[in-house]
Amino acid sequence: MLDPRFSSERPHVSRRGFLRLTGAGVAGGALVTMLDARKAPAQLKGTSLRILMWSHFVPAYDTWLDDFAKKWGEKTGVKVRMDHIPHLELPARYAAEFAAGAGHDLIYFVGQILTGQYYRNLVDLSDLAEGLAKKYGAWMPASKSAGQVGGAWYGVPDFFISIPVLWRKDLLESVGVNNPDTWDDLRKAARLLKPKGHPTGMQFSHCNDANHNWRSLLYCFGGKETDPSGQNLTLDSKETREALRFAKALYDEGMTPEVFSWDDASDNRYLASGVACWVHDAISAFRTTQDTNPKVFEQTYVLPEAKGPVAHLNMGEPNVWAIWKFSKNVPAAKEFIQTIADHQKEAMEASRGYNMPFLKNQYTKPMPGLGGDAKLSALQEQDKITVFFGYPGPMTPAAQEVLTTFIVPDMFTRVARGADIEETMKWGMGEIRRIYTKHKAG
Amino acid sequence: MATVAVATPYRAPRTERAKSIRRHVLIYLGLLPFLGLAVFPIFWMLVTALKQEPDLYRMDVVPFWFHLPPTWKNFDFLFHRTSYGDWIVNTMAIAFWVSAITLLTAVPAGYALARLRLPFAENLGIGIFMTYLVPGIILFLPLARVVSTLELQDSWWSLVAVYPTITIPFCTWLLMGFFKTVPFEIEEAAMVDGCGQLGALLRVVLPVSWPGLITAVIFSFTLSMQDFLYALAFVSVSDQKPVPLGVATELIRGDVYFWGSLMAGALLVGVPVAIVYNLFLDKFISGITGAAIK
Repeated sequence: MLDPRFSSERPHVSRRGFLRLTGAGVAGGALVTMLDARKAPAQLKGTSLRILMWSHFVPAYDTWLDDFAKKWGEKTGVKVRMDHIPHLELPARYAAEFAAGAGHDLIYFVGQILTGQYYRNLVDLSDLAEGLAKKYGAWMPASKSAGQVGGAWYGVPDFFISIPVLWRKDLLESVGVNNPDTWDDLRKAARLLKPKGHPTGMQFSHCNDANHNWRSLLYCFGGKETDPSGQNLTLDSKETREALRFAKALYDEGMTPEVFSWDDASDNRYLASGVACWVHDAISAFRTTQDTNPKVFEQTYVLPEAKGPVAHLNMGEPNVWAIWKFSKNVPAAKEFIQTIADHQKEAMEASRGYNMPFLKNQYTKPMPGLGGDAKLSALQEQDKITVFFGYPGPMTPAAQEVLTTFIVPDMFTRVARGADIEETMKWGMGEIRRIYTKHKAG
Repeated sequence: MATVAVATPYRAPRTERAKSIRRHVLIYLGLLPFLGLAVFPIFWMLVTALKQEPDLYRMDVVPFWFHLPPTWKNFDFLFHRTSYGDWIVNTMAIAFWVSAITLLTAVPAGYALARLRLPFAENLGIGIFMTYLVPGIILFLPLARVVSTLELQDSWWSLVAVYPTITIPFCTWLLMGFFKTVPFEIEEAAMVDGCGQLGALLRVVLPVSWPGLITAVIFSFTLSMQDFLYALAFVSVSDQKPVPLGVATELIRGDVYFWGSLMAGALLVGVPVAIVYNLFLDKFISGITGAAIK
C-alpha cells in the first residue's frame, strides 16, 4: 500500500485538475490534510536514521513498514535503515548498544518494556507524547507507565498486542457450549472435548504467551500483582490461590502434558492443525490458521476474553518507541515516530488488525482490519478490558523483572505438576519479594 | 542289547567368509540405531524443507512423509525473499578470516610455550586455556565497547575481530599439546642441517603437525559457523548477518515460524559442512588425541 505522500513522481496538475483535486480534498480531505500538513524539518535532509525494530508477528506488516520508512526517507531526504530482530533477542542488543554507547538512533521495546531500566539514557519525549494525546485523544491510562518515568515520557507507546480466546465453534457446539463467555465455559468445553481428541493448551513454560495467558486468568480471578502504586505486593491472596486451583483443574481435565514444552508458536500449530478446541493467543494464530487450514479457520471464532468470577480483564503486550541519548539523529527519530503515529490507520490495516492503538480517538469504529470482519469486530472494544503486567500497578522495572523471570507462569506450572498451592505461593512470593527489595534498594 | 543310533544333523564347518559376513551383519545391525539417530534430523530437515505449509500443520497423518506434493517454494523464499546468499558468503568469509588469524597467532604461541623452555610455560598455557572457559554472555558487553571503538558495529568484520578471543586460547592450548608430541630429535636434525628455529618450525614441525593444524582450523571454522550471541549483539543489518543469525532472526517472527525455509537454510549449510568435516575426520581425531596425551 503506497502512501500518497510518498509519491516520487512529479505532479502534472492543470488548473482545472487542481480545482477538481481540491474539491475532492474536501470530501476525502482529512487524510490528505493530515499527510500534507506535516512538513519535515529542512535540517533532516542529508542525514541518516538507523531504526532497531522487532520482527512483527504479521510478516506483511514488516513489508509495509519497510516500504513506509523508505518512502518517508525519500520524502524527507533522510537515509533510513530499518533492522529487524525477533522480540526475544532485542534485550541483548539493547544491552550491547548501551554498553558501547553507540548503535541505533531509534529503538523499540516489545512486551519487555525497559523504559524504566534505561530512562536515564533515553531522550525525553514528553513533547511528542503529549502532542499525540492532544491530537488523537488521551492515552489509555494503563499504557502510560510503558512510556513514563517520574511523569516524563521516555518512550512513546506505539500499539499493543491483544491476546484473545480463539475457539472452534463446531467443536464447542458439539458438546453444548454454544457461546463460550467465561473461563468455566472454556474449562467445560476442554473437559468434554479432550476425550474426543480435541484438548486445549496454554503454555506452562518460559515463553511470552505463558506470561500473558496465565496473567489474564489470574486477573480475571481477582489476583493482583501489586497495589495501584506498584510499590506493595498483593499477589499473596485467596484470589491468586483460586486462579492456581482453577489452572490445575483446567490442565488435569482439558490438556495433555505436551504443554510443558510449548513455545510461543505451539498453540498456533495446535489451532491450525485442527486439534485444539480453543487456545488463548494473539490473532496471528488466527491468521496462521486462515493461511494454512481454511476448513478449520471457517470454524474458528474470537472471544475478546473469557470472564472470570471476579473480573473481565485481558493482559495486552505493549510496544514502545524510544530514542537513545547517544542517537546521532534525534530530530529525525522524533519525526519518524510522529509520522508513523499519524499513519496509525494504515499501520493497523497492514497488520491485519493486529496493532491495537493506545490513543482514545483511534478506537473510532470501524477500526481498520477489525471493523469489517464479523469474527474480529468485538476486538474494537478491547481497550476497555486491557491491562498490562504489574496490574493494577504500573509497569515498573521490578514488575518487568518479575515478567522476564517467568515467576508467575512458573507458579502455575508448579501447581499443574502437582505441587502444593501453599508451598508454591511461598516460593513465588519469595522470588518476587527478592526482586522488589533489590529494586527498592537500588 | 540293541543300540539305537541317534542321527545328528550334519553341520558343515563355517567358512571364514560366512563368519565375516555374520560378523559384519551384527556390527551393522548394532550400528543401525545410531545411524538412525544421526541421519533422522537430516531426513526431517529435508522433508520439512520440501513440504507445503498446510502439510506441516496436519496432525492427523504420519508426519514423516509428504501428503501434499513436494514444493521448492521454501528454497525459493529463502533465496529470493531473504539475504540468504549474503549470509552464506558472510559466514564463509568470517570462518576463513577467523581460522587464518587463529592459525597465525596460535601456532607461534603454542610452539613457543611447548618448545622454547620459557619460565612458567606450563602455567601460562593453562592460564591461556582458562580464558576460553569464560562464558560469552559475560564478555559480550565489554566487547561491545571494543567493537564500537573499532567502528565495526553492524559489519561482519566485527565478528572477525571478536571470535579469535575464543579460538586463539583453545587452539594455542591444543597446538601446545600437539607440538609436544613431535620428537625433539627431528627438529634438532633440521637445525644440524642448517635450519634456524623458524626454519625448523616451518619445514619440519608444521608438516608433521598438520592433524593438529587441521583440528585448529575445524574448531575455528565450526565456532564461527555456530555462534549466535556475538552475532546478535554486534550485527543487525540483514546483508551483514551470518547464517545462524540470519535464519533465526528473519525466519522466526514471534509465534510465526517459517519452518520450511528454516529447515532449507539449515540443510544447505549443514550438509556440505558435515561432508567436508567427515573428509578430515581421521585427522581431527588424531589432532585431538595427539594434544590430549601430552
